[in-house]
Amino acid sequence: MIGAFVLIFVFLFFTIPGASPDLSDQQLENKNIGKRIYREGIGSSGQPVVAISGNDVVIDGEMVTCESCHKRSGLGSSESRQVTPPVIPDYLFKPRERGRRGTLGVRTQGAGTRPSYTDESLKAAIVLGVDPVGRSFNPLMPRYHLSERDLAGLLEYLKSKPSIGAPGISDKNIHFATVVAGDVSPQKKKAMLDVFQQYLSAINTETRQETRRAEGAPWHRDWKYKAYRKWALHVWELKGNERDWPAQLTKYYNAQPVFAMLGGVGAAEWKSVHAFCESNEIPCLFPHTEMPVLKGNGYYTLYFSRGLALEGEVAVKHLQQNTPTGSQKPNVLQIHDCFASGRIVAEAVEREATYQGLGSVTSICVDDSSGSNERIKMALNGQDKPVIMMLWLERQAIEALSPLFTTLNLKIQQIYISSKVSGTRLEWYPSELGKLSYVVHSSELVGRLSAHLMRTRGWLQNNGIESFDYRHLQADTFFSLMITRRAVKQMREKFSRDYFIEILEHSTEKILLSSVYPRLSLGPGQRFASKGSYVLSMSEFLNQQTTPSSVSWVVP
Amino acid sequence: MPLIVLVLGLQSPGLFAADLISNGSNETVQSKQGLFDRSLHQYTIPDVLLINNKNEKIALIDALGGNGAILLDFVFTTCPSFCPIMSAIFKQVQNVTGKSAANVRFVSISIDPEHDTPERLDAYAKRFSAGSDWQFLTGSVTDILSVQKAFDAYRGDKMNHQQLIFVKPANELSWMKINGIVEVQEIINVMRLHP
Repeated sequence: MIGAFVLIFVFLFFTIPGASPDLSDQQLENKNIGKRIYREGIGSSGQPVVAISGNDVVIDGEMVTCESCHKRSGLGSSESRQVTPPVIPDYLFKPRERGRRGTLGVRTQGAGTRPSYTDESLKAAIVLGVDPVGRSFNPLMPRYHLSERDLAGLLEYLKSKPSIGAPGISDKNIHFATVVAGDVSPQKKKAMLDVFQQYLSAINTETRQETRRAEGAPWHRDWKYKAYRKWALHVWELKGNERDWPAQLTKYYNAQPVFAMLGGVGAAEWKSVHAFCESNEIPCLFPHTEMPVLKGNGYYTLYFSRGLALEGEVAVKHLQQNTPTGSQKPNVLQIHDCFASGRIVAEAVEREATYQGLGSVTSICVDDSSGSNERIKMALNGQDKPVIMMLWLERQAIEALSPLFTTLNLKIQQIYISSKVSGTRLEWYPSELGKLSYVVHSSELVGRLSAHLMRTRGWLQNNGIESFDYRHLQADTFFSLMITRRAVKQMREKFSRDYFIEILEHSTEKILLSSVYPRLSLGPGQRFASKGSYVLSMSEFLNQQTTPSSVSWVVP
Repeated sequence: MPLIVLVLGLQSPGLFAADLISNGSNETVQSKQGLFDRSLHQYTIPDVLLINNKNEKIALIDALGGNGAILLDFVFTTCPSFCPIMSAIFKQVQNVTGKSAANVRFVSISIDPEHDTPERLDAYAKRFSAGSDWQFLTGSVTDILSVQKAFDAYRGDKMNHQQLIFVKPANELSWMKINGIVEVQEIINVMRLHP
């Protein structure tokens, strides 16, 4: 009797899937092999996989991957008129029918239909480029030369891709969060939250009785109406030391998971919030920050621009573009505040100057200490060569230094300043420096900004919430909401954070709403929407109303 | 008689890929794997200064001028599908022309110049093991726009771009514009057999 039980146990142990540790390890290994093929184009041999596109175009995994076209979400994409279909289990392992559901007109055969894929027909699709009834795919779809091991891995990975669904989505609501990070003034916080409150109020008004439509959607429209969710906003305020913010964010998220984070404002660097978004795979869209995370493989956070760092990068690029090839390397001297925004710009200058081969940069930081001026005098005293000066300083510091430059009889060739650091109203700027100075300015020119923000300002004024002091913040917030609404509408019921990001990559360039930043555009893998900055002479900057749009736009 | 038929057959592009070719300077070709259009055009090359993937300033008139054969396409480094296929075609053609020592230049121009810096274009070039006779060009938004419009390749948003390859055989003034899914062999045929 006992022996029978043992035999039964042994039989079951080795036949139930996953019951054997080896089988589970094998599945995991297969998935990892498949994931690497799908995302990186590298097979189990460690080499790029090879395929044929069309009749004779040889491609390999370094050139293009499954993810390029079918996307990380597996929901496919489009390019011009070419549509790449989904490869998620919900799509592959169900038959594809045509016609009206619930009527006699449903077709299960003929053009546009196919039975569900099986393991064998899916392998044939990958290797031979045919569907389950033997029809050839669009010739753009490569036919892969994969080993059995790699094929098994790819199938395992495709089967493991999750069904549609994402955290932060309930039957009734789609949950969003915004972040107020650190020491933000009440007026600034109110300016941002007013935008959220009014926008969500409008979204949730249900002018078309969207909830009733979703609940009672006719069968031929449920694909459209059932996607409706009311928007719910959660304000996550991060207090105290920045080291404590990750724990605070996790606590907020555990209390109520959100589908995405929108906008946000902070007094410090954004890196803690960025790291949280990346580790939890939460789309975090267009925060109002001048200190985005510049390095690393961030996927889920989208930024308006590279912020303060961009100012320094653009200054160096502009200098390089205007330095004749073969001439002596410029003598760059930058003066910046020790602890505030100028420091970020100065660090970017040092990095970019090294990268562009412009040679070393002399950097002097100033603070409120009494020794500061002496350090500057000592550094400037020895300068007998022509100097390219970069002043990443606020008004008071520039006004204090200007007489010093004259006293020391410096041979200043050019000066760069930043409107983010020194301000956008520069009428105070010393005239003796003005004729040598360039202003790095990453917002739209004043003459065009009014037109760019006309729709935004109209909405803010109609809702009685426009804040003159925080117009930039409000415009950023409004943009993040508008682009989210567009993407949510396109997403419909295919609730997937990866798909959401892919829609945003595809559509940012198309959105008709402008922001304070010119030339917003994203693409697959791109995470900074505005990539350059204007560089204007002081005269052009002070006369922006009449400055033509052909003024220098520099992309580092 | 059989010899003449054989010679005519060898000169027909249809022998390699096309099953159907209509008459005239604009042709819709039904190949074994899909459809592509091809048409003959003369283009005025804009007088713009671009930058290549080695950070060298290049006058487009020089890059696309002269009597040698040229292959041209419009790409961007984050392009999902069209561009990798077109670049793979260029690479295979380059492999063939390299062996024959033909004077062929390959030019790929970015339609996303603000993202596609010379460094990014060079990284893209390495993905395809592009040889030294294959340049990747970028430039100002205005200049790139003028180049796209000169070749009637501008479609607004970069994701709307078409799969376009332009071929100018040696000693020819006209460009063959090929739009669609095309074989490597077809490109080689056009380069050799352009009337």
